[in-house]
Amino acid sequence: MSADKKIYGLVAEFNDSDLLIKAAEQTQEAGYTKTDAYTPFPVHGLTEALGIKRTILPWIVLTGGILGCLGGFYLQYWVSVEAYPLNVGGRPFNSWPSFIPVTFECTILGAALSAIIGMLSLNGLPQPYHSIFNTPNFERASNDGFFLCIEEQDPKFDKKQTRRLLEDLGAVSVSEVES
Amino acid sequence: MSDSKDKDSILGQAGPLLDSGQTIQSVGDKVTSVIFRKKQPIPWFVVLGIASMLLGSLTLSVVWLLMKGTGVWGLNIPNAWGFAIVNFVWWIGIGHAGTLISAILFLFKQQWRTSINRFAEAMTLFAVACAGMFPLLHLGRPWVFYWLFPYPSTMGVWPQFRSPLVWDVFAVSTYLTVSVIFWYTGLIPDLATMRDRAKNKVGKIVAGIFAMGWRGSARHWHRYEVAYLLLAGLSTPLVVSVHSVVSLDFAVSIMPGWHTTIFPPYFVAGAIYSGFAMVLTLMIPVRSIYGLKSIVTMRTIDNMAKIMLATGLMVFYGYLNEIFFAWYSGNKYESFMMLNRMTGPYALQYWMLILCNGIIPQLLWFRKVRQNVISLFIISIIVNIGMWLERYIIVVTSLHRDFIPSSWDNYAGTIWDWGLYIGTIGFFLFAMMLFIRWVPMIPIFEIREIIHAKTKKTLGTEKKP
Amino acid sequence: MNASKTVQPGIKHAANISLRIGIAGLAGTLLGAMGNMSQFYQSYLQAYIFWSGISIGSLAALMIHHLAGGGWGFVTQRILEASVKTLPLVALLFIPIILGMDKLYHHWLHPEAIHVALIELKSLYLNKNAFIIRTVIYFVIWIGMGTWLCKWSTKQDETGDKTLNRPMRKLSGIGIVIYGLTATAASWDWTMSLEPTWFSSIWGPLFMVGQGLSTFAFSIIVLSKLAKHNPLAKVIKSAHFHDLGNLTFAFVILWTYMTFGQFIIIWSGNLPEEIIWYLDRTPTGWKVVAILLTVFHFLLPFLLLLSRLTKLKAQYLAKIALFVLLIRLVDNFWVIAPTFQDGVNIHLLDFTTPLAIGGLWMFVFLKFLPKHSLIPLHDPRFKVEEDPHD
Repeated sequence: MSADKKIYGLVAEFNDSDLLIKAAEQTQEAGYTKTDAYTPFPVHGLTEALGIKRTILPWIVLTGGILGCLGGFYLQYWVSVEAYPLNVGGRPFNSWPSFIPVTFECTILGAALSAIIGMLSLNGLPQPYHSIFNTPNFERASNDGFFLCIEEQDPKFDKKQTRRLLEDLGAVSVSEVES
Repeated sequence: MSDSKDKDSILGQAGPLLDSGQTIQSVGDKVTSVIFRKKQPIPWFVVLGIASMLLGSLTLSVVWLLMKGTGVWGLNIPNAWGFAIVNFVWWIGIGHAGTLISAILFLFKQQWRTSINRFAEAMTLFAVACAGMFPLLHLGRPWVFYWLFPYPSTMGVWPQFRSPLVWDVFAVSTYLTVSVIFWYTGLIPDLATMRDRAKNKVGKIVAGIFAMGWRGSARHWHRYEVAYLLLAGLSTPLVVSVHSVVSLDFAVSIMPGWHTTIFPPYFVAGAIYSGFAMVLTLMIPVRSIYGLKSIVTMRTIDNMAKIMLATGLMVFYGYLNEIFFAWYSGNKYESFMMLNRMTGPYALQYWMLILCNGIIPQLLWFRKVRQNVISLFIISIIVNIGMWLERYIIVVTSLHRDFIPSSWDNYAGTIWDWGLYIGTIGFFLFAMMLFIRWVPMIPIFEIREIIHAKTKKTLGTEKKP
Repeated sequence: MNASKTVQPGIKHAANISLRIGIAGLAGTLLGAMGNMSQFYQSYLQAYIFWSGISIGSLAALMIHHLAGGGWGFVTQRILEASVKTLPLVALLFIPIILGMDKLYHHWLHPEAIHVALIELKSLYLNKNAFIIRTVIYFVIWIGMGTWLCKWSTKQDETGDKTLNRPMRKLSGIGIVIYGLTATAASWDWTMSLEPTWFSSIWGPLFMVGQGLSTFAFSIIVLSKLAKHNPLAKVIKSAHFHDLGNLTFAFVILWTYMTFGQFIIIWSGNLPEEIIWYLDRTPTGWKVVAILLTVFHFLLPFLLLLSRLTKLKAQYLAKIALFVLLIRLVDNFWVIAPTFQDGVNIHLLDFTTPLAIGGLWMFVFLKFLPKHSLIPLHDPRFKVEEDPHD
């Protein structure tokens, strides 16, 4: 093995989600921080086991919704009162009851767009290349495999010790993944 | 076996959620096999062929309309809204089931929804696309459709926000956008599965591009689940608002038969009703042709039938309510409208509507009817027809007898009206066939979650919350 | 019954307090009613619609539980059943309304000259005898259905017969349809006909949503008290409160949706026979009440219940629920009172009548509540992990 080959991390493959959760818990206990797991579906308890913080996504969505709401109402107010006031059946220019449906739709639109854009950008997607795809058997991560990765960047990362830890946790295989 | 059957009958359930014997692996195989199989089954080609012919009818009707103008339709004054709005409301109503299944049932943690949600969501997208065609073509000059949106035009003109038709523009375009977002969000992990399973290079690349590099990271899943839940939470009021806005197109006017306060929820119930009918109409054949009976189980079918019954009853309640208030209001135009609806030139359509939407679906009270896919299939088609008639009756009976008898006129769709309507059905079926062929029609990862939870439960390793 | 010993004294105590509040309220009501009978009837109707709404709404919620069967229904079933058992009392409490019909429903019993022809037309529906007969029919139906459901449920506790779920579900299927029709007609009779020239076809659904909202809010409050003791303490999870919180949230939104729908349709149409209802309810003082309702019946509960945290914590949720219940009373006030008065006149009776009826109602409710196990013991849909008998 040449020394100049950069390593992304050590990846352990598990056959079962419970083993993965246990492994994640123990790596966290062992003090590893730069870890991640890869599963074909959301596994309950994994988020806590890896010590992942709750996402700020709900706040982004709330902000998007509020902006949509205010923007939607102001648009209608500005159009109907300032820019192009029309008398429609004697109703007031600022017919706020009539503005509520569009305000509502704009709220939802703002919130939904922030939800998808927020989720994707927090996740850093789209991302065509990622080192983890170099893992042998990684196509199983979208089918029936459960993977745990300890990254090389982790301050506690040590090729031998980390490998031993992962093997002890019941991994089917542990592989070094190139960056 | 008989023991579990007995339990089902006590609990009023129809069989298990998923057939036993499904594993995490087999679900992936089963669902993607529809896409990766070498040859589609014969019925797929037959439907595609028919749909293509109907698409021809759509093209012809649209071209003729653009050449000649809306005069080729059966419209007149006072019947300025004919097939165009009937079909618009019909299609958009059908679309609502998709969102309902994917969002509301998700919030209510109804697991049976999982096997049909992707399919129903696709249905939503295509139905909304069909719906959108009608108001656009009804504009007369569809090429300037962008006048509908508020933008700083050189003419200095802005939309009139006190009109429900402008609300519609916002409601429908928001609905389409959010439905696409919701649908695509749900698809991302399955696209990754397809990417990793595809055997040919092109398939791998295409799925890979749309999967956006999804790698199933735990951090990603966490944000993904939050985003999905939020989108479900947003879609639920959205779907209600869309059909409510559609109903307001009618209700904020002062036309007898239209101006009534029950319209918003009554329209929403009708939309869900017709939407579930359409899901059943499509799902019943699809699950048997593609061998998906073990995933889209009888329990799912039975539950859909029950929701159809419930919403059908709400719609029927709406009819009774309308009749009572036509009399109770003491408004002679209202009572004339109702009497004319029941006995006038469109009486046949009215009573057909009551039969299709109100009477026949009462058969769904019986378990035997719900358990028989053929009877269910027939009822679902009858409900689809009934819901079309309902909109026809609402639109035409109120318009054709205006306040002043001198402006009375009857309405009937012309061949171009029918050609366009049938053409959109062709478009819908065509799009559905392409969807079945190219996209996993059942959410693989969500089914896996259910199976996973189930196996863990039987192993007794489930954790207490 | 060891388990219920822990909770029984508390319930008994609460029942005594309720009775005292009821008697005090009654005394206050008698005092206030002297010389001001029309104010009495008006306030009484407001309070009656509120409290009867919980009993009738509980019947509907119970039937929905038998049909749909969520975890929320399992923990609230006995609360709902006890509330349904108050229906005979609610029926008895209708008597003052019949006695006060001349005052309450004088717009159609003694129409003004300009409305005579219109009321004549409606007299087939709006006449004194038909009104009374219909109300009797509603109560016979509701009490009948409620009695059957409670009877089967009790029997299942005693015998452990799992097949009893079948008749409960079947009755609930038909029953919810019958509830829809009878509650709608009751809404027309009891409140819509206060202004007989006015009409709104959403009135029935809006009335039912109001009942549902009160019922869920009420159940949350009672459940939060019972949850501390066995047997509920053993089975209750924060997810149950979360579900009930979500249901309350949904009903708050539904109420807003229907209320706004009615408003925008009538406001846009601006027809004289319809808009009058809002004109009566939006002069200066009433406009303030309307704004208060928008803020406190919609905005505040909406924002509070949006968060998961408030729904998971029983004590927060119970506080929000109590607030929602109180604002339901204000809503009834805004709907009913403007028929009788031009400005906002808050009378002593507006406070004493809800206390009088409520104290009595709560007393009966709390007498029924501990008669059976506080959770259904043998519902096959839910596992009772430990036998609460030991």
